[in-house]
Amino acid sequence: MDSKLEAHLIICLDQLAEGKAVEEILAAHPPETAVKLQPLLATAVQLRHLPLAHTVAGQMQSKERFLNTAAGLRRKRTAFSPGWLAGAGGLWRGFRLAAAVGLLLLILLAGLILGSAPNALPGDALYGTKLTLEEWQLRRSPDSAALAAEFQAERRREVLLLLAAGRVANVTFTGQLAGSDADYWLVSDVPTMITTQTTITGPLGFGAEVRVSGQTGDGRVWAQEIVILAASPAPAPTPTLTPTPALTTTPTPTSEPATPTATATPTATATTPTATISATPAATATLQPSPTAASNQNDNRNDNASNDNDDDDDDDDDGGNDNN
Amino acid sequence: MNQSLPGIDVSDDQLLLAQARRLDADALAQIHDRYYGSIFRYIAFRLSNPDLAEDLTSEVFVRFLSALRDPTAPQNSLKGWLYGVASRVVADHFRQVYRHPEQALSERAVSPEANPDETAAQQLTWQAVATAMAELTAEQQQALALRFGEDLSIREAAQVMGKSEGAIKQLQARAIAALSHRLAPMRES
Repeated sequence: MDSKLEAHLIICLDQLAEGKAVEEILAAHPPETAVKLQPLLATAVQLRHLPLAHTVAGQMQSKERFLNTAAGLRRKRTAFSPGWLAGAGGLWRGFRLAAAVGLLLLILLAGLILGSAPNALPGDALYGTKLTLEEWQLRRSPDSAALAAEFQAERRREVLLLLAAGRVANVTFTGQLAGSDADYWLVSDVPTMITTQTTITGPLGFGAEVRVSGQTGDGRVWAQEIVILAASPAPAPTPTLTPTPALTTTPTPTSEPATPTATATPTATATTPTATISATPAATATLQPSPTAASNQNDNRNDNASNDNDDDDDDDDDGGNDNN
Repeated sequence: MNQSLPGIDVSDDQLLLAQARRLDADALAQIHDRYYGSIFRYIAFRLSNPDLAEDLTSEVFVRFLSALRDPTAPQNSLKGWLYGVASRVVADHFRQVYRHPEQALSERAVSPEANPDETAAQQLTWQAVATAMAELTAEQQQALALRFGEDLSIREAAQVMGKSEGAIKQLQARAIAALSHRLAPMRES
């Protein structure tokens, strides 16, 4: 079909669709063109009159099959995932939702554990978590010694709480032997019983640092093992207290020669402004007596004669202080 | 493919489609009632067997259920989507016929009101037309099915096929010429 005839046919088909009769359409064309167009338009008319009616039974059968298949898919979908999951928009969205809920629960659980663990006592489920957390804190702390002492106090507090509650549990704590009466010991403030089964390791003495392992019961700890970690400071306490009166007597004589030296230094710096470097030795020399006066007052008294000879200005200064 | 077709309430179609995705039984029943006739005519126009056309129309709706789960499927053109499924169903049928040529003739009369002579004539005409049409290109077949089987306007057919109105006019004219050429021997006899 040439393009000219195609153009004519396109127009004719438009007119046919508008409802014009074939004869009327052909009449508008030259006879030689109309002859070529006539069978083409006849085909178009033939197509229009093909009987394409469906049966009601066919439609009903199709509808039944369609709805039954849909019902099967619906059942499969609900069996595959719970209703809320299907409503949330498929498996992937459901998975993400479940993951988010799981994470939230995990965070809540971790918060609950971390919040409750510090209050746990020996024998509690979270007590192990508490000790692990303490270990972790000790490792990260810049002042682990202070923290360790704090945790030792916490162990004793736990034991006292167990005793107050009348609970039986295995405990280990550290404390100082504060007193003893036959089998009854007081380790820091924890009442501890020594039995025939108790093993004691190390040199024992009043005030010694001990580690006690045992079991709580009847308001006390029944010791199974006591380890002496550090011996007691021994008989030292009373003699160390006696030297203090001797120290109180010394300040007055030593202070007298010490003070004049301080007043001497300003004059040295004033006279030679450029020689500030040379003046500094004089200044440092004047400062030396004052620390010796504070710490080694007895020694100062012995050296008084030489100090007096070396620094006459010191006497003046001291006199000034006395006046003050 | 353009999504809105004149004479079709697109917003209603979109609502139906959204409900159909949830396999809502009422929505699916409405879709079947609304589009069964159109899809049947579209398929029947390309076949000479109304029983087979009914089977294939039913198949279109079942496949439509599977297509609902396809995330790449159009979101708002229900009718266009159904025509697309119908076109694939017919193409699959022709592929099957090509592999297994024995095709049973329909026992059903073309027009129940027609007398036996007329019925036989109609059946022959339809078969001749269907046989001739099977030799056209898929696009030519689709254009004729939409224009003469479904009675869509040039504009509507262009929207369904995703082509310009000019392209549809040309496609239609060439399809008529090719079909006429193939039907000429039958017309002469």
